[in-house]
Order: sequence, then C-alpha cells, then structure tokens
Amino acid sequence: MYKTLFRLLSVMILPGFMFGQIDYDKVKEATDVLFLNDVYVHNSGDTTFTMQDIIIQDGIIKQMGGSLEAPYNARTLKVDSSYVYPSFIDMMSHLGVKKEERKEDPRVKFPGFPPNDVAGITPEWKLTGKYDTKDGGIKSYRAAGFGMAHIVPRGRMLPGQSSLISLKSEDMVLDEGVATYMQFTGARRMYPSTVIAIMAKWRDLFNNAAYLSEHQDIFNKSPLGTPRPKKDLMLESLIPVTKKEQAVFTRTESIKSVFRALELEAELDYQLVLANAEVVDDAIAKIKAQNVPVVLSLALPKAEKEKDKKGDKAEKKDNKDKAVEHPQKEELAQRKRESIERYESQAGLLEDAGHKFAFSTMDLKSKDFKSNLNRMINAGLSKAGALDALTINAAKLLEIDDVAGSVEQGKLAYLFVSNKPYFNEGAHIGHTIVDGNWLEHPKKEKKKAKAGTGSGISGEWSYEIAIPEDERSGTITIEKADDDYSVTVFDQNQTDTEFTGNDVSYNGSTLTFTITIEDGGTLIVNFTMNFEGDSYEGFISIDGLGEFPMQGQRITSPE
Amino acid sequence: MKQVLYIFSFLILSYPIIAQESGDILIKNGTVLTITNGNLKFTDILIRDGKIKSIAKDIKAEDVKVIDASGLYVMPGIIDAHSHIAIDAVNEGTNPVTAEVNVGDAIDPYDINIYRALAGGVTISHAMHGSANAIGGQCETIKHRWGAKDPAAMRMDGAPRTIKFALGENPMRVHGEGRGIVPATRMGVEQVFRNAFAEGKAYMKEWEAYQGGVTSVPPEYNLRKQTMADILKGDIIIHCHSYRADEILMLMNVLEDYGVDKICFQHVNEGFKVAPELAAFGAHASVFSDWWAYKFEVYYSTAYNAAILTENGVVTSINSDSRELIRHLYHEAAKTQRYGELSDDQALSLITINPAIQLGIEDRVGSIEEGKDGDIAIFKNHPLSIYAVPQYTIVDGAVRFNIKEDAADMRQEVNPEEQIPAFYEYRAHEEEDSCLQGVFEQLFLHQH
Repeated sequence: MYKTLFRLLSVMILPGFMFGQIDYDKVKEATDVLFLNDVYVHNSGDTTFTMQDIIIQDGIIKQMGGSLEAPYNARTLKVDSSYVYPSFIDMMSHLGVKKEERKEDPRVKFPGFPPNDVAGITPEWKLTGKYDTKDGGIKSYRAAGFGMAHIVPRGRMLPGQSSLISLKSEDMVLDEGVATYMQFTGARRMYPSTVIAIMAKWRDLFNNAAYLSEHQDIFNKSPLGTPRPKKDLMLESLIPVTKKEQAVFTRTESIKSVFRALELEAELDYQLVLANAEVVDDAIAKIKAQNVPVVLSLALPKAEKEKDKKGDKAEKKDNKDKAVEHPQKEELAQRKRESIERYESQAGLLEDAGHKFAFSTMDLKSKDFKSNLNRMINAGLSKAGALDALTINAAKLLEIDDVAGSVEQGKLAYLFVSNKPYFNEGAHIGHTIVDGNWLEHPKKEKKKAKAGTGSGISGEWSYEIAIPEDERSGTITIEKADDDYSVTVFDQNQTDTEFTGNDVSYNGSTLTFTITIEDGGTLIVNFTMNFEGDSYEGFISIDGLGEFPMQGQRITSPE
Repeated sequence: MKQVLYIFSFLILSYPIIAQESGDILIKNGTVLTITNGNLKFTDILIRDGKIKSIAKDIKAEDVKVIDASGLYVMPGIIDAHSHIAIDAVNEGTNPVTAEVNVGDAIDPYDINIYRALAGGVTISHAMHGSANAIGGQCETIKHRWGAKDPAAMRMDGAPRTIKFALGENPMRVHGEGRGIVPATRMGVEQVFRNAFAEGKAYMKEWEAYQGGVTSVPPEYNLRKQTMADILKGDIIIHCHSYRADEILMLMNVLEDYGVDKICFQHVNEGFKVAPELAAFGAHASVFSDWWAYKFEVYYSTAYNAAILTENGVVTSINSDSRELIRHLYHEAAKTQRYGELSDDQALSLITINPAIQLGIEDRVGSIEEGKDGDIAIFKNHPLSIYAVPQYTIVDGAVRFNIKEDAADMRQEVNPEEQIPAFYEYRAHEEEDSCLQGVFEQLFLHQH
C-alpha cells in the first residue's frame, strides 16, 4: 500500500508472459476502444443516477458526458439504459495465489530455534512467482463485480508481503510489496507455536528491526570505527513497518484476535489494519480511539435454513427417541440464532459508529457474496455503505483512490454494467470492464422455479375471473424486493387502468392482497392466489357480492 | 437496525448480574471473617467505587445496592495462586526457555470457567504458563470481572509481574525425552537456569554499556534475555513448579548465586521436608491439599504438607491448578483442619491473604480491611463447613455471581455454527493434565 501511481503503472507495463502463458485460443480484440451509450452511472456518495456516455481507451476512462460521439474505432456495447458501477475491490484474499503443495515438515534439531522459513517467518518474501492466473476464483469474482484484489500469501506467522492485482487472465499484477501480512498462526511443533509466542516474537522482531535501522543510521553517518550492521534481509524488510511506511495487515477473525492486534499496535505504534475481521463490536471504541482501519470479512456463519427453524427433520428424528431430547434445545437454538445475527450486524455497527471499512472475501465462495451482503444489509448496513466499502473505502485504504474506486473521467477503467440498480431483484451484471478489458457475462437461464420455493412467483401472470355476465381478464405483475412483494393489476376491460395491491402477503404458496376500485363508491376486492408451478388457481372476494373463481398462467419471469 | 437493537436488548436481559453494576454496594449484617482482624458479627461493609470504604455496625448509605447478609458469612474473595483458566495458550513447549512469552497476551474473557470459579467464591486467579519448560512464560494475575469483553479488563492492573519456572520430570520429558536436547536430567534443568541467568546478566551489561555511551551501537535486542534481566533486577516474582526436596534446594542455591530472592514454589509436595530451609530463604509455597501420586516424582507426599509448612513459618497457600478444583477451594482449605488442625484463620489464610502475598498484591486484597479492593465472597454456612454454599461473589464492588440469578446458560460467546446440544464440542479435545496442556499435540501429533 502507499505506493505512487508511478510505481503502480510501472509494474503494469511488465510483459504479460511473466505472469501467465499467452492464451493462443483467444483472438485479439479488434479494438480496445469501448463506447457505452446512455448509461446510468452510480458512484459513492451519489444519491441518484446520472445518465452519461462513457468512452474507454488505453485502459482509462477517456471521456464521460452527455451526448458523446462514438469514436470511429470504438466498439459500442449494447448497454443502453443500464446501470454502471465502479468495480468492487477485494481488500484481502488469496485470489490468484498458487496453492503450494503440503510438504512434510522438516524435522529440526532445536525446535526452539528453527530456520525462519521453516517457522513461517518470511516477511521479506513477495508473491513474485507465486501467481496463478488460472485460479477459477478470478473469473467468478470478476463476474460478481470485482475488478481488483489485494492478495496475501499463504503460510503462517509472517508469510510475506501482499500484492494488488487486476482480475484478468493476463498482466494481472498491479503492485507488489503493498503491505506486510501477519497471522496469529503458529508454526507446527516449533517456535513460535502458540499465540503467546507469536506476540512475543512480533515484539522481538519489531524492536530488532528498529534497532537495526538505528545501527544502520549510525554506521552510515560515520562508518569508520563503527561495527558493521548485520545484513539481515528478513529484519530489513520490517524496517518500513517500524517507520510506519508500510502497513501490517493482521488477520483477526475473532474478537479476541482483534483485541490482541490492537494491543500490539498500542504498544509498538505501527500501521495496523485489522484484516478479515468477523466480529469487532466490543472493540469499536478502541478501534476508533487507535484509528485502525478495518477490513471486514464477507464470510458469514451459515444462515439457518427454513426447515431448521421449523425443525422438521430433526424433530421427526427426535420424536423416535424422546429421551435424548435436550431440555434446553429451544433456548440453545435461540442463542445460536442470536450469535448468527451478531455476525451479520458487524458491518452496520461499524457504519453507525462512523468508522470506514472495506471488505475481504477470504474463505468466501463467490456464490455467497451477494447473499451475504444482503444479510448484512438486512441487519443494518445501508446499501450505500455496502457499495462504499466495496469501492472507494478500499481504494482509499490502498491509497489508489486518485485512480480507482469510482467511475470518473481519467480514472482507470474498472467498472461493471448491471441491467438494473445493483440491489434490485433480478439485477444481473452483464458486462465487466477490468483495466479497460471488456468481458460479457451472459445471463444463465435458470430452470423455471416452482412455486413455493421462495422468489418463484415474481413476474407477470395472466388472469381470468369468472364473474357472471362480466368475465374479466388482464395481467398481474408481482415483484419482490428483499422479502416484500409488490403487486400491480392491469385490467384489460378497463383500458389504461392499473391497480396497486395493498396488504400483500405471501406464505410460500398463497399470495393475498387487496385492491381498491373507486367507481362512484369504493369497492374493495380481496385476491387469493394459490400457486402451483407456472399456473395458479384462486378467487376474488368482494364484500356483499361473494366469491368468484380466478385462474391464470405465467407470462414472463423476472429478468 | 432492528436486529441490532434486538441483540442488544437480549444481552441486557440475559445477563442481569453484569448489567452496569456500579462499584458501590452495602453488605448488611453479616458475620465478617476479616482474616487479619478476627471475626465481626452483625457487621456491615460499605464498598464505594470498588473499594472497601467502611466496616462497622449499622452503616447508613443512600443510593447503594444492598445485600442482606443476615445469617451469612462474609469473607474476602478467594484467591487461587495457580490456575490455567481464562487463557487460550498455556505452554509454548518448543524451547526449554521461553521467558519472553506471556499468557497475559492470550486472556480469554469469555471462558465459562471464570464464571464457575466465581460460583466458588474465587475473585482472583493466577493464570499461569505451563510446566513444559524449565523457564516457561510470564503469568497474569487476573480479576474475575465476568462480563467484561476486553481481555485487558481481566488484568489486575498494578499486580507485579510473575513468571513460571519448572523443575523435574516435565521439562525433562518434553525436551530431553521428546527431542533429545538439554535438559534430559535434573542436572540439565539446573544448567538451563544458570545459562539463562548468565545470559540475562550479560545482556543487561551490554545495554548498560550502550546506554552509558561506552559502546556506539545498540546491542542485538532479545526479549527473552531482557526478561531474564528483569528477574535479576527483582521486577518479576518466580513461581516454580516443583516436587522434590533436592531440586527445591537446588533452585534456592541457584537463585542465591544470582541474587534473586522472590520465589514461590508451586505444588512443592516435598516441601514438608525442607520447610525450615524455605522459611529461612523467604520462599513461599503454594500446595495442593491432598493431590499426589499422579507421576513418579509425586509419590512421596502428605496431606499434612500445608500445615507443616505453615507451622514452620512458610507463607503457604492452597491452589487448584484445575478448573474443577477452583470451584471448591474452601473445601480444600478446610482439609488442613482435619490434617494438621489449623485454626479457622490459618485455614482461610491459605486461600486469601497468603496467596495475595505470594502474588505481591496483599496490600490490595486477601482480607477485609478498609481501603482494600471490594472483593468479597458471601457464604451460607461457614466457608470451612462441608455445608458451605457460595451465595454472592463480588469483584470491585460489582456482583459477578449471585446464586439466585444463576441462569442455565451463562456463556458469553456462542459458536454460530455449533451443534446443539453443544456440551460435547467443549469436551471433545480437552485433556486432563492442564499443566502440560498443548504439549501432547506438539510432541506427538503430526497435524497436517
């Protein structure tokens, strides 16, 4: 982190073959100039979308504005009226880092004094030579909207320094030696094996690096008659840390490790980043007082499934043998639920406390990314706060917000195009542009959802209501936002008349709502629709007039 | 946001005893066992801001929580001079000397054993490094402020630093037998001490030379040697795992050679053989009441150990070294009345003022005196009676255990992915000998 743009760009122009083989199947694009016509742009801090055209060239956002002319050599993307967001930045993961084969641990004669590399203490190592451009995660996270990732090496206490990469298959490295990465992960059967030894070792290394730096300064000032400072690449790599020139991303999933890292920072004074934190709530006051950046983990404990809540299967099993039923089962289940909710609430708590944070995807499957984000939003995080954490906050933490983190003229071309506002039901990221490199992500056709499996009833439905002497027909549009449904009824017999459903309720198979017809007097019509696959049967009831059967089929699914 | 509020409200509801107790409390009309000033019947104790403000009959105080202790026994909070609860790491068993590590870095404020210890009237415990190494890590004197979320809140600020040493079979087994390195014998253990002290002494001189301008560049920093230097300077009290009399004498000789005098021997099962020598050295002893024969070097033992040491003028305490035993240290102390006929005050001193002396905190806790910390245990029936039942345990004037508000599930942290019921998860990976906790894995398990 904390490198200049110059440094960033200089690494970018390194030839691609250094980091991955050229894919000869891939036909070179005819042009790298892209034109996005009439798109709605949304950046951090925006309250509304602004319609603009965007020209992308040479990996940067060349021009933005209304009514731009497509350059002669541009490819015009069919994204008219779509929504454009800055690419997400993954603040910490192992994306694109080679998995190393597990080797048998070497036996060391004196486990108290193992070689540093065997003990997992290699802060001088960078990720050079350890990149894996074929990591499947790069593709799937890119499809989920990510454009950059700050990646850390695998290993133990001090496995090395991090890199910043673009999520693409070539030229992916943007910068190396961004930050020092530290974990409270002990060496196997050798020093430091426990958290207490890791903390002691960190104090020891930190102070040694600081004294080595002092010694170097004395020597450089007057080399004659001064003992030579020892040459120690490992310690030397920590000198920037002691001078607060390089941050230390410390992996702190548990609240206890958060407190431990904070204590080390308070004692030694360096640029700590609490990384991949899962729980921070009780430490927020300290975090703010010490002004320590937080990178929250997007991984969450498994949500309770509906059936677990009802306890269907488990209950049946237990009923066979009532003697083993735990007397406090419900209380214990309740506490477990609250514990899950605690994890979901962390992002919202940090936002409420006014402490900026970014997100990491370590230990997270890309398919869980958006659902976890939504769980955090349901637990109190604002949507704007979620987008900030994924874009501008991360860019600021990496000190690259002058060139990344938002869609602005002159910035690096990292953005994605969604058919709908990102958090809307059915939003799909159809195009990603990462470092000016465009990819299309066609929507996979989902199998038609059966009613009763959740969001399966969204879409447009036909209806026929058999009222004697007055057959009615039309369409009903059902939309789902979060867990709430909204219903619009369009009656063909009354052209251009739309009714909005009130008191909408859906229990997994039956939808009920009412509409109010003002026609001289006020008529309230109650709808009941029982869904089965792509059709439904039901009835309407009108006070004083009775019930009338209705039926219909699905016309369209949500986009 | 709703969920957040919901969680918050739940926390308050389910932990009534934690919810923002002030450090003010008035304990009315109890039988006060002061330990240092006899027993006072029908006496009140007023605690203000966590400190004992007054001890008298009929104290009047406004705006203060009142506990009616009529018919109850009020004693100072029990202190356990040897335990391993509330810490996430016990042994850094990878080297015979690990003076630089500190279990205070690994405090676990959510350990349910803290609450269970409170339920046994214990307000302070000495969380110790294990006995795998001749010179193990530094220990932490913790106050059982159950409900505090920050590990740092458990520390007893101002308590002197302490460090674990170990004699005999454990360091020999782990390093000698396990790895074929020093110490393989009791002679080797002695040399480990002497080497470490010698290094610490040399290190101290190197730094003094640099700081005094004699040398021009800083010496190599070494936290381990620095810690040894701190022991030599008298800044750290040694607590040494010990059994055999010959080794106890050996360590006293080593300490004498290096001018170190702050030592408390732990376990010290053969202490009864060298009680006058311990007293002459000023060494303390922290013993089990009647626990022995769990390994060869612990065969020669007696339940009269505490009484013999006490009668010889050695400051003696009875400790638990166990998350189970810590819950009934008052019974353990009472055994000295059966084996040794100690008086009530002598027996209670073994779990109050004496361990306080051994931890260097006797000016603040260990007896009921005005000005001392408001750490109190209140019992139904005399604490040395077999019918004793703790009712309230108070730390710094805040009630941390109340038998009437003892919910079935007092855990502070719940694993969001736990199996229900969770009991077996907690027990699955535990080993019985917490003294050597973690060492088995380090030595024998290839964890891949």
